Amino acid sequence: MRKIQICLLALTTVFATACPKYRPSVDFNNKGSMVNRINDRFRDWQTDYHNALRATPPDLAKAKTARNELIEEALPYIDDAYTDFITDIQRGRDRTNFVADVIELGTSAAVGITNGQRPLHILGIALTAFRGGRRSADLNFYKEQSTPVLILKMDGNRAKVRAVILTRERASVDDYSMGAAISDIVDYYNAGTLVRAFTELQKDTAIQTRQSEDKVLELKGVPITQEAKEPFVALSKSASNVITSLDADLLGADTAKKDAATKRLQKIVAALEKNKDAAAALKNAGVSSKDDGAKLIDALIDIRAAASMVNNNALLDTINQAIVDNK
Amino acid sequence: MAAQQFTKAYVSSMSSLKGLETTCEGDETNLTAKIISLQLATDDGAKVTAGKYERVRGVKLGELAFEKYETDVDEQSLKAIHQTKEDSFLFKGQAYVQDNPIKVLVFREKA
Repeated sequence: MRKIQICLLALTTVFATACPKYRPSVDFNNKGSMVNRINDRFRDWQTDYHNALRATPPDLAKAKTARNELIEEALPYIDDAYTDFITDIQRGRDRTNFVADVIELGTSAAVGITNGQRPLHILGIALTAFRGGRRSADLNFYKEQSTPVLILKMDGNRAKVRAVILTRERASVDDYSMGAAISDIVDYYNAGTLVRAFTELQKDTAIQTRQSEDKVLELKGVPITQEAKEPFVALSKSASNVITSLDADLLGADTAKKDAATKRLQKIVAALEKNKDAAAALKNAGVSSKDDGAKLIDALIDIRAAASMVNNNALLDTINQAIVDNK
Repeated sequence: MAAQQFTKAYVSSMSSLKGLETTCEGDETNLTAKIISLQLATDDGAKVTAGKYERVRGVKLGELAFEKYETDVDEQSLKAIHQTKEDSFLFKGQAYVQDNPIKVLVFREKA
């Protein structure tokens, strides 16, 4: 029963869908196909090109003409194939997407009814491939937008390569060889593929993301911090190490350590209460040296952060010194 | 609950990247927070480097290491160098040093 269901699914896939199209049609086995027709022209012009270069003296002008003629004769084949390709993806997407939905559901169901690693593996691959096909051919949800965007991107890619070719055609064969020309023709073909369109769109998105990342943040009313002096930072670090240890002791299960941490914090706060500015900050935070360790450490952490935010380094030095000194 | 965050604005005329690094280390300790980003900013129109921090308690953070880079190759090389020292890469950002914007990689040195 399972075999029948899987076979039915596979046959439905084969007969109901064509392979998703990602690029203009290229059939290497068809004598009349685009590739073979281009290759025939390549062969003729390349023969002329090489004969011109091998002549004594080399006929560079003739070689250049052969090279440029090859380019200009090859490109219309690619343009024709591209036009057919565009027409196909515009016309064929609704049918493809409908079948895609059917297959996706069918494959999921088949995965559900199939035991064993191999059938799961095969179906999983088929499903992934088909989802990829849908993504490239068109997405149902965005069908009004995605196809025109992709076509525009391909048109743009092709125009860029065409502009490069036109510029290079003016160059001599020393600067722009036949090999480079053929490479450009291949580039021109690739520029009209969905794969390249997606790649270029991703690049555009990456550039836009980078530009938005580079956008300058606008702050308002944040006190500007000057470069810190080494002694200030060293004292801050020492105090921070003490605070971290006391915080850990207060959170731990060791009662003796908790008591010791509380006593030390009370001693620190008592010392700070003797300083006018520190006492005001403690009062503002609602703590005194009589409070428990957890409340005191929270207050000290908040007071230090608040002082740092307004660059009150004098208060920070006072607090940090008290933290380090009162053991 | 999201961790408490702080944003500090650093003067664009920092004498050096090391100076900014030291300043940020001081702020990490006093804010009881770890640095999470550095970016170019304006503060009421003035050029500044914005440093964002996130509250973290009970952890000795260790030293920071700021590295200037220009190209992707620099970036990868510096990451590889710090990886060999077992430093942790934190983030990449931008900062003003002597009023010039530079690209910065931020690492946490191995304790």
